[in-house]
Amino acid sequence: MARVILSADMQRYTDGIREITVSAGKYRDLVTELLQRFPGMNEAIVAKHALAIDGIIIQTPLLETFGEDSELVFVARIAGG
Amino acid sequence: MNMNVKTEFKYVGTRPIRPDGPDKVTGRARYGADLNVQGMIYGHIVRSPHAHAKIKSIDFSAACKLPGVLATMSADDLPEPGDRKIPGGEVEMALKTFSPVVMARKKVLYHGQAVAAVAATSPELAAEAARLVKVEYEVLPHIMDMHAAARADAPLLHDDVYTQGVDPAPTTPSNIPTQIEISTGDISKGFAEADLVVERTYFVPMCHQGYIEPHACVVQTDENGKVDIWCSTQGAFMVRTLTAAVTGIDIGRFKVTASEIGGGFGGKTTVYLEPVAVVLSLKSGRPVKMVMSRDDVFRATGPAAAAETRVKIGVTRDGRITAIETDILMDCGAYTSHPIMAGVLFNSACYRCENVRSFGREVLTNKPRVYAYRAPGIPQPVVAVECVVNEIAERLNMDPIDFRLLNAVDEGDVMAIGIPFQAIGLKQVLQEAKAHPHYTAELKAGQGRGVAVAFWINAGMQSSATINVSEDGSVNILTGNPDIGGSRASMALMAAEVLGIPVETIRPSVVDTDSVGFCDVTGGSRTTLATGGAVIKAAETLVKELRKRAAAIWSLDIEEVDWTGGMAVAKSGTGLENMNREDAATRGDKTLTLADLAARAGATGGPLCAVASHNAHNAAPSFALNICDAQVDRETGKVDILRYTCVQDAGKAIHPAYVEGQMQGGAVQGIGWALNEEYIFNEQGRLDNPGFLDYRIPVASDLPMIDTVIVEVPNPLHPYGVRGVGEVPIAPPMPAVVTAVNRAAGTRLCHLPLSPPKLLAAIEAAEAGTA
Repeated sequence: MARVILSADMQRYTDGIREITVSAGKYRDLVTELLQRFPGMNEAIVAKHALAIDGIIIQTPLLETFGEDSELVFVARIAGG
Repeated sequence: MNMNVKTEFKYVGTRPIRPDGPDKVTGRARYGADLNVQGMIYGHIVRSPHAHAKIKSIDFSAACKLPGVLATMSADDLPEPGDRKIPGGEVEMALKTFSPVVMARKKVLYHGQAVAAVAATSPELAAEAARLVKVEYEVLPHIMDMHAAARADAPLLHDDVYTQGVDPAPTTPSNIPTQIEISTGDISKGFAEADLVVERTYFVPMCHQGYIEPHACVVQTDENGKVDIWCSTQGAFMVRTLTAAVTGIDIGRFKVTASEIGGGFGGKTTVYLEPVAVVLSLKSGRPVKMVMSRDDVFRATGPAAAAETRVKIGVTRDGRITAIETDILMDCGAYTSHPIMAGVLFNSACYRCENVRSFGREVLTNKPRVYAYRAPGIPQPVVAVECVVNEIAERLNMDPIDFRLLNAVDEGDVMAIGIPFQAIGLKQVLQEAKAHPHYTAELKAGQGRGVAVAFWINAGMQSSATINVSEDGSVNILTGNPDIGGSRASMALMAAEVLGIPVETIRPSVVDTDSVGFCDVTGGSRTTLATGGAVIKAAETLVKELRKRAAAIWSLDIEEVDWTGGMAVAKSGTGLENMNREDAATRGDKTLTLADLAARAGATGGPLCAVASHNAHNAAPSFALNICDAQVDRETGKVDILRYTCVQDAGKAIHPAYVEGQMQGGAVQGIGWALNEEYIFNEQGRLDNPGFLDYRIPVASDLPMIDTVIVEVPNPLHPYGVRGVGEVPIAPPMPAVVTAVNRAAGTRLCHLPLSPPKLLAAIEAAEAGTA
């Protein structure tokens, strides 16, 4: 089960739950699992975030996959200069 | 996902002469305002004289009577932005947060905001016509102070802004578009475990990036609907996207060419003039040139946010950080742009700490919409964190670098937001700084020293590159990223490394949006990493093609042909070690150089070219440290920076001179922000210092030579180990300077800039015992 840390913004839809485990192995399945578990959340909220997979921040994770032991962190997208 | 990172290089890491150098020093280089085309007319913006007002009417009739006035425009010529979101690379942007910056709609929210525009046959005539445009306003109360703007009873800038990040969702609008909080551990427990807690509040003013070249563009439209834009920008593709969005014109009609750029630093990651010039060109049927004055640049483009940061740090008596709490209020001007995110997420990322709480709010005021300044949102809170860290080290009687080494993050440590660090170079940076002669150089009475470190996340994003080989074997690289910090030289070096040919035989070019695949902006410290990554991929593809062509000529399988030393070599020879053509010929090996293969390209399959594109997911963070020695004239409050050293982990420095330039440039900008630079608004909400006489940026005579030390801890995700280098240098200078100045003066000023009047007053107060 991959470990997922949710952003502060996402925690508003999880009753404050910051960390969960998921059975998903693909980003798309991860989103589906999140929306099933937290009905208050929607796809637009998830899509506002980048996803860090094992420490590597990916701005557009649509096609990303990850392993059972992966650590996933949703993080607000940051603009640079 | 770690990869094999190359560590031995022939060309990468050398310092060839920059390919754009001769054009720039001889004046041949063409910047935004340097293009002139036949039939061109000139646009001029009508700007708001009020900081906050409703636009009741705009009357162009008097202006249009002036002979030579060929077009006018206002927001009525642009589509309503609605709630449309525009992809902006790293983040989506709401069209309604930047379309009104191009041209105000119904309301003006800051002095100098664009309200209308005219185009005429000369710049003087256009300016005269602009003065004849009658705009009727209903003046509204303006609000310049961010604390006042944050209050519930403050006059509202927007009636449709509701604070995001608050539960339950607010039902009334406010001037606070965003609130964010992150936390890890137990902050109360962390402070309870501390033997020493220091809490301070620091203010950093709104300041401008200070790029020397004002915004400028030339737009030409034709009867087929084609729109050509020439402009000074950090991203031609970004200009295409945003101008299409603001004007409502199909993106496929645009071709954007980026001129040479005289500085951007994040300030040229948007559009101001381009959509206006497009409309004026379409209406007049003529090419339109628009050039901002320096006054326009200060009043109407995007400075860096002001911020107030309260920081509270707890430590044990042996120097271990037990808790870090920050509370940031950030003044973002009239429209939201979210620099608060990075400030909240990363302000204490240099330190290992189990208990962290970081809270931030953006506030809207009647000032220009802010944009990035190198690392957006991070220098402001880092001032507070780093100055308090220095104070704590002093109070614990610890060396400030030793204190940081004790608490520094390393590979495997986890940020407060939960992301683990891969290989990083903070500890190496700290060790290099401690070993530098500057750090132990003696200070005289009245002098002070400050150190500070900072972190920046860096970005990857999308890039493309094309490599073409000419008939003589010379190579041309095409990319779409404006060369701000030496990217052409870096692209050539990386291609030379893969192709094995001298870097001087490679011509790197920045081309228009029709001539290469999509590239995100030159920003986010991404170009060498991401566009360079595309160049490496394209060069590797080309090498494979060259091996295939040689194999065809020799009737061999491609696996029997290697590419080494800039030539194809048949593996059936006597070996590839110590290969050069003479050796190979002596031994009877088969070889074909790039020139040999280029000359026979037609016979072996056609022109030699390679294209690559990718979305780089391999960015890695950077850390930087600055050491500053300062001296304060106690009679005038003037500060002299005596000695300054920058240490930074660059990953692999592709062209070290350019990396050093980024470090030095960021240091100088941070010194200016710390000591003098600030937007000064008067009671009417007008900027009182919109020029370089009154807005004091450092010049060469103000500064010592900025010494640099490049630390190279390779990015494990990049084939050459590259990290971004352009943004993090803006973060450590302010706290290093503030600490040095306060130590030199015997003060504890927390309100930047530390300008002479302010410093003198603090010195006098300290001497009088009233501080």
